Amino acid sequence: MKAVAIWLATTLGVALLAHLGSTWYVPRYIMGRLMDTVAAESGTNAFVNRPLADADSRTIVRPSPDLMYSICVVDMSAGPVRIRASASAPYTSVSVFAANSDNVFVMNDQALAPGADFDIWVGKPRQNVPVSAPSALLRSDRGVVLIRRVVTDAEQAKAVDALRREARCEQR
Amino acid sequence: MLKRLFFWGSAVIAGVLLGLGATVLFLQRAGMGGDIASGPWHTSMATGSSSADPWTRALVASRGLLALAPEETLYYTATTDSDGRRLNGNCRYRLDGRDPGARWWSITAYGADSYLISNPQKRYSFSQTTLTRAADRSWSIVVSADSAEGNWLPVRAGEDFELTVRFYNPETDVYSEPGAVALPKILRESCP
Repeated sequence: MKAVAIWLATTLGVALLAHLGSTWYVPRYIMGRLMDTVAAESGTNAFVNRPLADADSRTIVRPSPDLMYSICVVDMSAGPVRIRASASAPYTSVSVFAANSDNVFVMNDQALAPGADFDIWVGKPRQNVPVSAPSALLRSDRGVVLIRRVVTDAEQAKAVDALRREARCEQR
Repeated sequence: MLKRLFFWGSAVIAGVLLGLGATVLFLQRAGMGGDIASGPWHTSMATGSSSADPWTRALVASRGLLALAPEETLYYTATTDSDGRRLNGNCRYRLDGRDPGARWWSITAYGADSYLISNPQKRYSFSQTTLTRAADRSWSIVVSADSAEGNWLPVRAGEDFELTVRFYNPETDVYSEPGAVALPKILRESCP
């Protein structure tokens, strides 16, 4: 009887550790897989411009079919990365995600001065990031920058697509 | 010696399987919506947040990767109609509503696998810029596998589906009381 109790207690203790550990690891694994997939397509520190999502889109769950996405896997191991992009109406946002999937930074077009572009830095602590610029600091070497642009119709989509191809994600 | 090895080894293996199984079950069964309800719609103020607990973070990563933090966007998800019955493409539903308090918003249908639902019309959502409205600015959306007049959002017959409302830059009162937002009722009009 005592042996059974010890066995059960050990099993439950290990189960708890396994559950906590796997729960902690899941978002990191999923983000890692996404970053590897995108980086395999275009390398790091370069935007990949996705077409509008449809039923065949399987890279990311729950995509919005009303948004044009541009994604950059930032690799800051050799220095900070500068993001530059123009805004498009009716809504544009630039967001930064850490390697554990947390959304650590977001800025939308309403925060821009009239006629201004997004100019955002992503780096690690102690890297040389301009103090006056909007910035996101990540603890990991890699992260994700995602630009979302609302698309309202086919004509506007063409203009938005042309504009977003001018965006830059470059290591400095 | 062998007996001891078997004793401890079996406990560790059983524990690992149990722990991992609990994680898988949690990710499969837990609703995407969140802990704040407004009718059949659910949201969470922890989505995308650095202060999210590990379970919320794991769930959002597996069911809504790259979701924005609530300061920028609120996501409401419904898996049931307003009477608590699972949304299924065998039935016809009607959503009646008005523009919610946000700079831009949309309603999107997803399959139970969290991807867009294939349909010949390639229609997956309605937004504030694509809806046809009544004279008083109200709108209705029919969600069904069979075609319908007006704002019709196709889903697949025989399969469960989910609806997600996105609020980009929600208004202050929406953000401060997300459970009090007037979201459309999901009325089941018919079912075979």
